[in-house]
Amino acid sequence: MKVIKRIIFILILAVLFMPFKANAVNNVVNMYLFYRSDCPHCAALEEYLEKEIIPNYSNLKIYKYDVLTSSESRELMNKAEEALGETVTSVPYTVIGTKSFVGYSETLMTGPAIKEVIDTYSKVASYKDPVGEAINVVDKSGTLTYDDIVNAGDNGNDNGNNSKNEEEYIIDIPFIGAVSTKTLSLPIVSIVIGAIDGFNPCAMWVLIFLISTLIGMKDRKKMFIIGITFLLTSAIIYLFFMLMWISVVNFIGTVWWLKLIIGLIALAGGYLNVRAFIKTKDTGCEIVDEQKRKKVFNKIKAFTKEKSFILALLGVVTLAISVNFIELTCSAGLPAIFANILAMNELSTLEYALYMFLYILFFLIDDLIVFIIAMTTLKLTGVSNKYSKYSHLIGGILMLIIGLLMLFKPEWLMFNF
Amino acid sequence: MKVIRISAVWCPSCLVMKSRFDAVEEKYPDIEFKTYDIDFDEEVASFDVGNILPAFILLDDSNIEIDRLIGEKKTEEIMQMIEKHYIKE
Repeated sequence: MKVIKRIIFILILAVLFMPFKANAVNNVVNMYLFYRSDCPHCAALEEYLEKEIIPNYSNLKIYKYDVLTSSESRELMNKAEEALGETVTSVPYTVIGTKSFVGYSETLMTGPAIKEVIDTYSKVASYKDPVGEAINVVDKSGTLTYDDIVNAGDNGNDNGNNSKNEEEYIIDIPFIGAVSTKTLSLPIVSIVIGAIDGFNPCAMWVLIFLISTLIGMKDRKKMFIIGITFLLTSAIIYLFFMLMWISVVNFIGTVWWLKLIIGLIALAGGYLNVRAFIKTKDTGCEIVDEQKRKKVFNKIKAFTKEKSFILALLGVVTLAISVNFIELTCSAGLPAIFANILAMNELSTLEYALYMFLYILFFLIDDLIVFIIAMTTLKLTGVSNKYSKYSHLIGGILMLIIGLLMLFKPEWLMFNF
Repeated sequence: MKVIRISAVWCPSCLVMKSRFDAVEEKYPDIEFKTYDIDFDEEVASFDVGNILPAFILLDDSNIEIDRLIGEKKTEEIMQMIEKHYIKE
């Protein structure tokens, strides 16, 4: 039965491709282009289409949807993704039949690849257009997928060019293997900014005081749960802050004035950090205002004496919330900048979560070191504030660079092209 | 001569410095070393600590300050400060 089906399929294709071999049919080809009006890669693709495609393909119909300004377009893009069964993380998102392209890069030859797909579809009478059906551009489309046409017409030979270009973007990392630099940039940015932010230990003094009080109790289990609760609450607050910032950016859109404000904040933050590095002669702990200290001490004492463990945990949670909110102003610059970079890259929810998790993990790295040592040795160890001093310098330089890029070359911060 | 160390339990630099300070203390058995916590010891009030911890304050026999080091320092730096004023009894 399978063999018969295959023969029928090949025969149908053979019939379909008879005119294709003899003469190009040049049927109508629909292209769906989801873009953002502020996206440089989208602009580059449009320029390519204007110059190379539109003048040469009278049979091509381009349907454009600006997902930045229109919620309707965003809905249509969601439908397109659903129709093709894929999750798209950035724009431009170009769909022709069952073939889609995410992003646009001259180096990766996206333009010629799109041209090749248009060529292929131009030569068949009808083809499967799931996106056209999903967004009501076509009533009913054909059954041939892109792969069907390519396999039947043996059109896939020159795909090798693209993979060759892709190879140039692939690096071999020991123990991990081949990784595309396109997908590596954002994780590296998350780790670097998170770690730099982490060594600015604004709320660390509270954790250390907390652990020292718990060590006195010598209850390792209680210490573990309370410490983890404190760290998790701190992480959640940071996560909320970043999510809030991403929603603000997504709600307003990456408009020029927001980029200008963030760019200027980054420059100001960078200047203050570099100045802090130059001015700090003695590496040590800055004495926190006495009233604030006393408040924290009283809270810690109150819940360590608390007989109900649940109430003690609630105490830690409220302590972590209040301390982190107060100290957020101490290091609000880097998470805000990082959230803005994520928003600019238009990621899926899962990717947002992954990058924020990486950021927070490395943000908490010094706290984790202290906590793990305390847990295993029941001794309190400090992490030298020298790192904090250098985090001011590196963080400052990084903020200056990001600030300048946001103002003058925002496309360089769009890693996920 | 006396060496006063002022630290705080919540200060990572004070924790880092603890072992270095202990090493210095071992080296000079005839010098009196005292450690005060900024939050729990009333004696701290008699010193002008400034705003960075830990602080190492060197006092002469009449309890008058003769030198001080602030922040994270190497063991050698603390020793150098002591050696500058140290007369073996």
